[in-house]
This record gives sequence, C-alpha cells and structure tokens, in this order.
Amino acid sequence: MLAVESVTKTFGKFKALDAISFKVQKGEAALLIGPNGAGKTTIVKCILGLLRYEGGILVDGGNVFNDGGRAREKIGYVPQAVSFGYDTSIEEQALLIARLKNARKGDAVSALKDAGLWEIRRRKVTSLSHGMRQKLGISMAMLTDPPLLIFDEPINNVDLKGQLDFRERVVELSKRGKTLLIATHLSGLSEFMATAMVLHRGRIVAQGTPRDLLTKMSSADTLYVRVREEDAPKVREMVEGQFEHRGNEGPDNSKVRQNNEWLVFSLPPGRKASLLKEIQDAGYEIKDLIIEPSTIESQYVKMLSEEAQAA
Amino acid sequence: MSAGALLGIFILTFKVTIRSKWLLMFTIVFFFFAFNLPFLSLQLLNLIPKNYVSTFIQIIISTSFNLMPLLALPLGAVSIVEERESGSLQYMLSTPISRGRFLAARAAGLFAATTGIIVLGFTLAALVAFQLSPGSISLWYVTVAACLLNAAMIGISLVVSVIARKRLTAHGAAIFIWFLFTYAGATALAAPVLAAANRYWVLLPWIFLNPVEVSRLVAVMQLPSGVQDLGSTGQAMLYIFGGGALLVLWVTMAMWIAISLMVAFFIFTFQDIR
Repeated sequence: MLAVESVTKTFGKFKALDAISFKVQKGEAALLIGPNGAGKTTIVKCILGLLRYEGGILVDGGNVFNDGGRAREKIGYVPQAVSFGYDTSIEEQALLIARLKNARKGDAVSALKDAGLWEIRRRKVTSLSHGMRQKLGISMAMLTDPPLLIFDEPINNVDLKGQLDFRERVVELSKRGKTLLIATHLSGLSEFMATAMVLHRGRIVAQGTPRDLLTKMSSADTLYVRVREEDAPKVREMVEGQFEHRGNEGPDNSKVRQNNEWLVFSLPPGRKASLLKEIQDAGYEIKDLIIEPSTIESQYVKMLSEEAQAA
Repeated sequence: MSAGALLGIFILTFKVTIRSKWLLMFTIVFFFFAFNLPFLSLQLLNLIPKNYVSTFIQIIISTSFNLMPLLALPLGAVSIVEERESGSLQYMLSTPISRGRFLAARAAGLFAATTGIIVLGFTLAALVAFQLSPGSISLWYVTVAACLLNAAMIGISLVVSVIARKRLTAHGAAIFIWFLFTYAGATALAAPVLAAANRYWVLLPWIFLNPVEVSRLVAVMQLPSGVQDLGSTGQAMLYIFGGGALLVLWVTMAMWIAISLMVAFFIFTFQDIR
C-alpha cells in the first residue's frame, strides 16, 4: 500500500531524511517512532507531497511525485492539531473538507453524527479540546473511506483518556482492514502494530516487527519481586551474584534496587522464569511479582540516552 | 478533481476576507474619503457651483487609486502565510486538490471580496454624482480600471504570501510595496523637468513599473476632463504613443496581472510546504 524508497530530503545543508526506505503492506499497522526532530513529520509531509524530495514514494502503486492528487485520494491524513487559523465552526470545516475530498455534503453530516459532533456543530473548532479535535480529524480523514490513514503525533497533548480512546480507534481501524501509519515520539502503541520503524536523525535505525525490534535492541523486562523483608538483602545478594556469575550482562542489567521488601531488576526475555525458580529453590518465598514488559519506546529512549552519553 | 474543491476554497477565502477587520477598517476609511461631508454640505447649501461636482469626483477618483492597493495587498499578503503558520495549509493540501487549483481559487476568492467593496464604493460615488449632477460622469471605465488594479495587487500580494515565512513579514512587505508604488508615483512629479528637457521616454519605466499609476491613467483618460488630470506621466504617454496610449496602458495592466499571478503560481507549485 505504501512504499518509501530511498527518500532523502535536505533543507539547505541540513539532511532531514537520509535514504529512508520502508514498506507498509495493505491492512498493516505501522509505527514510525523517534524523538522530536528525528524526521517523522518530514517523511509524512513527503508522503503527502507537501515537500519535494529525492527518491520514490508510491501510494497504492501511484507515484506521489508525478500524480500527487491521485495518491492523496487514497490517504486520510490526521494532523497533530486539526485546526484552521480562522474561526470556523465544526460544520463549516467539515463541509470544506468534504468539498476538498469530493465527498457529498451528506457524507460530512453523517461523519459528524458518527463522531458525536453533530450536536455541537456550530461550535468553533478552536474551542474544542485536543481529543475532540482529533475525533473531528479522524472523522474527516475517513470521509471518503481511504485505504491508508496517516497520523502525525496523534497523542501529543492528549490526556490519558484521550490516549486510551485513540488506542481503541487504532484497534478498530485495524480490524476494518485499514492501512495505518502512525508517526509519534511517545506511543505505547507498539503492541497493536504489525511493524515498527525507529527513526533517529533522519535515518531508520531499527525496523521490523515490535518483537523483532525488542530482540535486536537486547531489550530487558523490568521485574518487581516482593519477598519477606528479612529475606530481601539475601535475595538481592543472590540475584546480584547470579548476574556476576553469568558475567555477560551490561551494567544496567546487573543492577538490583531494593525498596523495603521489593526488589527491582531488569532481565532480558527468556531469563525470568529460571531466575525466579532459583530464588524459590533457595527457600525464599515470592509474595508478589510484577513484570513490566519492555517496549520499543522505552528501548529507543534507552538507546538514545546511551548514544548521548557516548557522545 | 471536481469543481467542488475549487468552490470550497473560493467560499472559504471569500468568507474570511469579508469578515476581516482590515477590510472593515478600509471600507470605513474609503467611505469617509469618498463621502466628503463638508463638500456635500456646501453643495447642498448651494455655496459652491453645481458643476464643481464632477471636478470633485474626478479628484477623488484620481487620488483613490493610490489608496486602493491598501485593500488587496495586506489581505492577500497574509492569506497563504497565515495558513502555513497555523498548519491549515498543510491540512488542506493533504487532500487531492492541486496547488495550482488551490491558488486559483484563493485568488478568485480574494478578488471577489475586495472587488465587491471597490465596485460598491464607485457605484455609491456614481449615484451621488448622478443625484447632484445628472449625466456629468460615467464611472464604467474607472470601475474596470480599479478592478484591474485590484487584480494586479492580488497577484503581487500572493507572490509576497507564498515567499514570506511569517505573517508579520508579509504584512510589512505589503505596506512597503504600497509605499513604494505611491512614492514611485510621486517621483513622476519630476516629469515637468524631464519634459522641459524633451526626455519624456525617461518616464516610461516609472509608468510601466507602477501598476497604480498605469491604472490611474487608464481611468483618468476616460473622464470627460481627463486631460487636465493626466499629469506629467499621462502627458508623456500621449506624447510618445499618441492615440495608442490607452491600449498600451491596458496591455501593461494585463501584463501586471498575468506576470504576478504566474510568478505566485510558479513559486507555490514548486516550493516546500513546511
């Protein structure tokens, strides 16, 4: 559905995108993740034909560069902040977008009703909350039922409820067979994604399924183990000893923090069960256990901070 | 691409322009400028001769051409850059509409809204003139010249708007361009000196490079006592081109419109929309 082939974009001497390539298959949900300034919005703008670039971008086989209009017919775009500089009402904005997308007035009305915005259609868009604007943006993006939906920083400045609502919408859209590309710097969405790309300084530094990426990034889940308070120092010593004994862990992985009866440490996937068994076999009771799985987001934050430290 | 998209941008532009505070302020100033109350009072009290009306209106017409660019220039100059700053330009251009069509609809919307005000102003002036001195003046050509000037100003303002990065810069540039044209017009006051030296042709760049002056001459040449108000530049045009002067001026105005719009289209089509 979407093929980005060796796309390079420069602004003067600054290389914002450096030979970026990726594909999003039909019906697939892809996450484009990276810190601010990584080039996420730049690549989105290239896909929309707003920026000129070197390389090739195909949307459903159509070339964005040569036939942008036709390519954009296949795209529903939800920007970071759906708003006009003018004081337009929800209804005015919906009708304008309907005209721009060659949709009928009735389609715009139905979209507003479906999104629960019809009752407040005379309200100014600028008076809406970020979550409501996003709702409006998604309903407008879906007007002509395009096969590809692109979200640019969809959960920026959105409260927790808004973020959860957005997750639900993503799952629903995926179930409907939509192809999704979500560009974000903080998501918590990787579990719903078929593929993820980590973008950093205009380059894709990691790409694959979320599980593959976590493996490649030598990710570590965080364990919160509650033992008897009197046993905690001994268990801590034992766990630390295990790390020393294996000797192949990084400095972060070997750290065990203790907070009263709670011990907190990180382990790569596949190592948790054996270590917990060893603790129990040594006669220590595990009273409670919380496992915080590693996410692409936490790993890329770690990766970037390591890179910053190295620099 | 249906006509619906073009209509959408046209309607949006028209609405936004009509609602703008700048347009409202201009209309009020233009109204008081045209509707000279002290003069009208004197006229109604028969303290000045009736045939003075046409002279008065001709003065107003002549001077109003200097004022007119202040309507379209600032409004057009911010029209694209404002949307770029707010992100709505990117949003609108993410739909199937092409940039060329977008700009065409934008120019048409701006033209319709601003020309409406100008036509209304001149129609009111014509009605007043007719009431006070029936048959004294025909404003048809004047109105057409004003509309052409307005179209050229929209073209120039759109060039400013697609180049500018900030709204404030665009607004400042628009005012500067108005000042430049007005000042450039004033420098033509040197014409008598040049005429005395028999060097009328030196004035041609000052005329052709100033759409305000070109349109003013087009209008004044159509007025009954136009020759008196032509000024040195008009006299120079007549001296050099004779009977073809009016045609040269019409063509110059058309070129101003065409070239400015083409430049705006070219830049807008090939630039990055950040």
